[in-house]
Amino acid sequence: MSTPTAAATTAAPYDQAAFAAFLDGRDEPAWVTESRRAAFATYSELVAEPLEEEEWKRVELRAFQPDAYTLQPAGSQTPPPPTLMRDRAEYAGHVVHVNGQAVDESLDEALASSGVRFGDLSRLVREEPDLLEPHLLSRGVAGDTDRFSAWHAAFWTGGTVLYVPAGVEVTSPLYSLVGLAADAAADFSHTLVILENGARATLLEETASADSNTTGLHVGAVELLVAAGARLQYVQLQNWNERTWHIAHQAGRVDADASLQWTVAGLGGRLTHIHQDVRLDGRGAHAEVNGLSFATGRQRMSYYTQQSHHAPDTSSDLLYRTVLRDNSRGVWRGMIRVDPEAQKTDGYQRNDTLLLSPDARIDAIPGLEIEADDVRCTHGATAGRVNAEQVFYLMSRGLSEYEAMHMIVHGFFQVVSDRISIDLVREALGQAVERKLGIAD
Amino acid sequence: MVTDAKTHVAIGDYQYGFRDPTDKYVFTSRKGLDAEIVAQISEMKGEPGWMRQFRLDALKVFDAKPLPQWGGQLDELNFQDIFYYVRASEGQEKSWDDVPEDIRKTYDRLGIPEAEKKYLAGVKAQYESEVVYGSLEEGLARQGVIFTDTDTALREHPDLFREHFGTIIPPSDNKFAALNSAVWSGGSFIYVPPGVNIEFPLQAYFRINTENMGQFERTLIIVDEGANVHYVEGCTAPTYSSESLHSAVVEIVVKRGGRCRYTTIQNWSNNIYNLVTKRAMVYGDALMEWVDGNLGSKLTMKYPAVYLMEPGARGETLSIAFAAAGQHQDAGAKMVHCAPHTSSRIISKSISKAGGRASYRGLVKVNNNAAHCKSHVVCDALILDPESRSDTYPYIEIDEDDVVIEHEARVSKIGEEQLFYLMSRGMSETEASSMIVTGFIEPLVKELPMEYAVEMNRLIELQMEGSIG
Repeated sequence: MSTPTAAATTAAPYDQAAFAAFLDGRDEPAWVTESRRAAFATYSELVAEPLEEEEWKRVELRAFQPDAYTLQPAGSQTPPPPTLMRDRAEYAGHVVHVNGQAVDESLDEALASSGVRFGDLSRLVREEPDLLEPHLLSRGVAGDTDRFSAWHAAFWTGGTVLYVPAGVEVTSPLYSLVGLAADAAADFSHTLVILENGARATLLEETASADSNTTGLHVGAVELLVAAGARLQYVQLQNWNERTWHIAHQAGRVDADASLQWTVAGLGGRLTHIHQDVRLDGRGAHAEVNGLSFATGRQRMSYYTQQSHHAPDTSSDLLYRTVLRDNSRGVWRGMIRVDPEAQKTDGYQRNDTLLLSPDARIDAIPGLEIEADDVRCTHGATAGRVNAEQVFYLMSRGLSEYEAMHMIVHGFFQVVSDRISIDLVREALGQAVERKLGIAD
Repeated sequence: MVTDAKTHVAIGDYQYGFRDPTDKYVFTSRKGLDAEIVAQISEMKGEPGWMRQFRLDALKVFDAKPLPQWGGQLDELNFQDIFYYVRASEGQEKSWDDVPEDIRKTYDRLGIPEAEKKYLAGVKAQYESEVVYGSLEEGLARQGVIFTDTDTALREHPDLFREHFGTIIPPSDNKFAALNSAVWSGGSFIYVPPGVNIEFPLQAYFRINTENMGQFERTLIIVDEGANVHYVEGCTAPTYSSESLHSAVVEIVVKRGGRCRYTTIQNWSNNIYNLVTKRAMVYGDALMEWVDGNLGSKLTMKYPAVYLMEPGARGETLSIAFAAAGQHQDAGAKMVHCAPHTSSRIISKSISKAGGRASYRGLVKVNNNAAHCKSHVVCDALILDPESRSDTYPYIEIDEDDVVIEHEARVSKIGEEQLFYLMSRGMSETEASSMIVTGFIEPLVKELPMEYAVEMNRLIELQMEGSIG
C-alpha cells in the first residue's frame, strides 16, 4: 500500500516534485511507473495549454481550483459512505474505495478458482501484471486524450478491476463503491473490466460522499473491454454530494458478436463532465447505452457521448433522459460515427429533456458522421416541460400538483430504467430519484 | 473551354461553365486585399464618408478574426489571390438591348430575359461586382415598392438604407460578414411598403465570369407591416482550374404581419467557395421562409437564420443540399427564439454521391423568457455510394422550460426494396434511382415556383445520370 505523500501538504500537489514523491511512495512494476511518467509529461504539457474551446464553452470550469484537492493518505479509518445499492443483493464480490484507496474487497471463492479476478487495481497490477498490462490505459481510455485523462493516468491511486476468463459466466452481479469521506479530497479511481471471449458478467458501481458538506474531486476513467461473444452489463450510479467535481473519460470496446449494456445515472455532483465513448470493433457487435440524469439547484451535468462503428453489421442504441430543475444546466453532445467499412450499421441516439423550471437550461447536440452508404442511422432530441394535461389528469385523481409533477418525472425516467433488466438497479434508481425529489427517505 | 449550354451535357458536366471575354471590362482592381483596395472601391462608387469608414473598420475586423476551425476546409483559400472589385460595364441598364453584347448573350443562355417576360415582377442581373440590368413592374413602382441594386439604394434612399444596413448582421458577426462589409458591391435592395402584396417573384441573378474573382453582393430586404414578397436568386459561374470566392451578406427585416420568402438556387461551378451569411429579423405574426437549394460550389458554408423577435413570429427553412464529387455542402439553418409564442420549422434534405460530403449544421436556440415556443427539425440524408459522406450537427440550446422542441434526423441509402420494385416495373436502375431521389426532395421542390421546380428536377436528373453503382 502506498504511504502518505508530500502532495497532501504542498501548495502545488501535482507539480514535478509532488509527482516524484508520489512515485516514491508506490511500489509498482516498471511498466506502471513508465506509464505514469509518460502521462505526467503529457499532463504537464497540456495543463499549460488552454482548454479546447469547443468542448469547454458549454461547461464552466472557471471556478475550478485543481490544487485545492489533494490525494489522501492510505489507511485512514473513515467508514464508507451510505449507499443505494450495496444492501440490495448478495453480490459475488465487492470492492470498496474510500478517498481513492481500496479499503475492503471480496470475491466468491469458486469464481476466484475459475480464474476470475476482482479487486483493487493497486494490488492487481502487482499480482497479475500479465493480465493487466495489455489493457490498462491502452485500448480504452488513452492517457493523452486531454489534461484530465493524463492527470488521471499519472496519479491514479486505486480502482476496480474485473477480469473474466474465456467462457466463464459470472451469474451474480459484482459490486464496486467509490466513496469520498474527507474534505478537499481528490479521487483518481479507475475502473477496468476485461471480459475474454464468451465471458459474461455484471458490474454495478456507485459513487457516494459520506458528508453532504465536504468538497471533493473525482477525475476518473472507466474502461470496458468486451471480447468476441462476451456480454457485459455495467452500471455507474453517480451520487456524490453537490460539492464534488466529477470529470471522467469512459470507454467501451465491443468485439465481434459481443454485447455491452451500459447505464450511467447522474444525480449528484457540482459539475459533471463525462466522455462516454463506445466503439464497436467487431462484426455483429452491439451496444446499448442508457443515460439518466437529474440535476437541481445549480448543478451542471454534461455528457459527451460517442458511438463509433468500426465494423460491419454493428448496432448501437443510445437513450439519454434528462430532468432539469431550478437553475441547473444540462449539456448532452452525442455523435454517431460510421467508418467507410462499417456497412449495415444500425445506429440510434436519442436525448429527451424535461424542464421543470424556466431557469433550467439544456444544450442538446446530437450528431451524425457517416462514411458508409448502406446504413440506418437515426437520432432525435426533444425538450419540453411537463404536459399540463397530464398534470390536470393526475390532479383530478386527487394528487397535489407537487405529487403529480413528481409522478410525471418518475414516468419520464421509467422509459430508461425499463431498459435495464436488473431489478435492483431499477429499484435503486427509483429510490435515488424519489430522494432527490424529496418524497422518499 | 467555351461550350454551348444547349448541346448535350455529359454526365457530371456543369452546364453553365462557359465564359465570356474580359478584355472590354471597364475596371478591374489589382489582386489582393488591403485598405487601399477598400478605399478604391469606395472611391469608384462615389460613396459617402460614413460608408468608406464602415468598410475600413470592417477590414480591421476581418484581419483580426481567425478563420473558423469548424465546417469546411478553408486552408487553401488565399485572400490575396483574388480580384475584389471587377466592373464589366459602365452602368445598370433598363433594357437588355443596352447591356453589352457578351454579357447579354450570357443571360440569354441562362434564360433570364425569357423568364422575366413570363413570370417575374422584377429582375436584377449582377455580373461580377456590379448590377448590369434592372427592371421592376411599373405598377409596383407606383405603389412605392423599391427594387434596386444596393449601391443605388445608398445614393437614392440614404435614410432607409442607413437605418437598416449592417444592423442585422454587423461586420463583427463573423469573418466573412466582415469581409463582405469591407468590399461589398451590388446585391439587391428591396423595400415593400405596408400592405403591398407582390404577387410574382422578384428575381436576382448572380454571375461570376472572371477567374479568381470575388463576388460580395450585399442584399437588404425590408418588408413593411402586412406586406409580402418572394425573392428568388440564382447563381452560376464558369469552370476554372483555380478558385473564386463568393461571400454575400443578406439582411432581412420582416415587420409585423409581413411575409418574406427567399429562395436560392445556388449552382456555382465546382471551383467557388461560397461563404454566405443570411439572417432575418421577424416581428409580430410575421413569417420568414428560406428555401435554400445548394447544388453547386466547391465548399458552401451557409446557415440562413431567423430571429423571432416578437410573439407570433414564425420561421421556416427548407434546405436541400446535393454534394457530388469534390463538393462539400455544409449547409443548414438557425432559428433563434427571442420572444414567447414563436414557432420554427426546419426541413433539411441532403444527398451525397461520388465522394461528396453533405453536412447539415443547425441551431435552434430558445432564450430565457421565450415561453410557449415550438420548434421542429427534420433532417433526412441519402448516401448514394460508399465513397460519400453525410454529417448532421444540430445544436439545440434551450433556456426556458415551457417549450416543445423536437429534432429528428435519418441517414440511409436508397432502399433496395424500392429499387427492386421500380425495376420490376421495367425501369433501369438509373431511372429508378433518379425517381427515388426526385421523390426524396419532392417536399422541397414543390415549394419552388413552377419554372424553378422543373429546373431543379432537371438538374437533379443530370446529377444522377449514371451515378448509381
